[in-house]
Amino acid sequence: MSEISFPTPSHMPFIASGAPPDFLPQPFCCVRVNDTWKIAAERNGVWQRLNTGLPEDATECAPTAEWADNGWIVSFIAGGSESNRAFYLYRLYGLDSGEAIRLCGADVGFTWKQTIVHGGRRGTMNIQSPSRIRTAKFVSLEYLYRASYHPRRPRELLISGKLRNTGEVATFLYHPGKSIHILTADDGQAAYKAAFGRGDELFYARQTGESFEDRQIVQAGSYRTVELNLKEEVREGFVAPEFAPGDDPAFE
Amino acid sequence: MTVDGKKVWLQGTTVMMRNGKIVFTKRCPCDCEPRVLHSTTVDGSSDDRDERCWDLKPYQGSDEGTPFARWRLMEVGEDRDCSGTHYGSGEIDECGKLVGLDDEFCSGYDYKGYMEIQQGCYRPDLGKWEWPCPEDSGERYT
Repeated sequence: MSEISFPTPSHMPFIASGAPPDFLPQPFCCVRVNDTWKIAAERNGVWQRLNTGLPEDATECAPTAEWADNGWIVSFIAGGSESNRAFYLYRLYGLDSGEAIRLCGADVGFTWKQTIVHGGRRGTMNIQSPSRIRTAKFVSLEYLYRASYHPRRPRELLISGKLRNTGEVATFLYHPGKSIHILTADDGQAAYKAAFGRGDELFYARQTGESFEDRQIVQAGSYRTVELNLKEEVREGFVAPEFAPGDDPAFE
Repeated sequence: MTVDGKKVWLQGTTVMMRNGKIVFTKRCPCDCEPRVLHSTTVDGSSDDRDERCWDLKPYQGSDEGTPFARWRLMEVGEDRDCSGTHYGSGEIDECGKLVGLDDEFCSGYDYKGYMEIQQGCYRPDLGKWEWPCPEDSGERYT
């Protein structure tokens, strides 16, 4: 079993690889602070909230992070404050900068290197890289709850949402243009808002109380992936070339 | 190219005007084709420096690419979908040299990176640069 343990209550885990050459695992998640979810990281054995500079009543969630340019780059979703109810995708350079940078309106999404993934609660998700913008509409999902990725296979996305036909939550492991699998943990329950550790161990938010939001991040004893039909599950496409970033040298 | 008194004889050389100057190139820029110039795999988690780093010095000379095309260094993914990160780019000069190419590229990530140095060509009819990446597929959204 992994040595990583998450606080109670918590959800939306992500385990990034730290600086080379050791690439020590650095866990992130959301923790409850005065009834509001906030992003946090484990530092020297203690879970600490990250200083994003956003209002105290803003909900922060869906953290991902990468070690680049000798520092941490964190992306997350936040919003819902009284001053601004809308949700956005943010980027934070360093864990204590206090200056989260707003990128675009989004209910789900993340950034990884030069790629920005973002989407609304319903509808199409955009995967924007320097050379193209790919779109993905998940046919069986009524709502999207989280978009994340496998830290050591970054092109594989973890998509959690609510199934249209049953109303239950589900998580897909989605490789754009290639494959889609449904991911379940332990006794077949949905690996809700899952994250992979460095040894490919799986963490997910298991419901522990009556409320849907009463969750605790646990490590799965086992997990399973079942491949689905990509063309049936996802309507994929590309933004028309004239609207794509293209290979304009200025973009680089 | 040979010089005979006051005459200059050109053989196997293209002569063209560019930005108001006469330039000579061994290869005609009109022959530009988008292509992969060089490729390798790097792994930042390896203990072997040769596996973590890609020595680019062998590609810093002349005749690497088509004159006046562009080059870029990028991570293309195992399936070459070209949706990865760009790590540098620049012009290719009249001698086919990749201007500005660094001495090496080293990965700081703990997974395999599939690296390519690509040549792109400008397509006046399309008004954009074309690169050696897979054709887009699937339904198009506007």
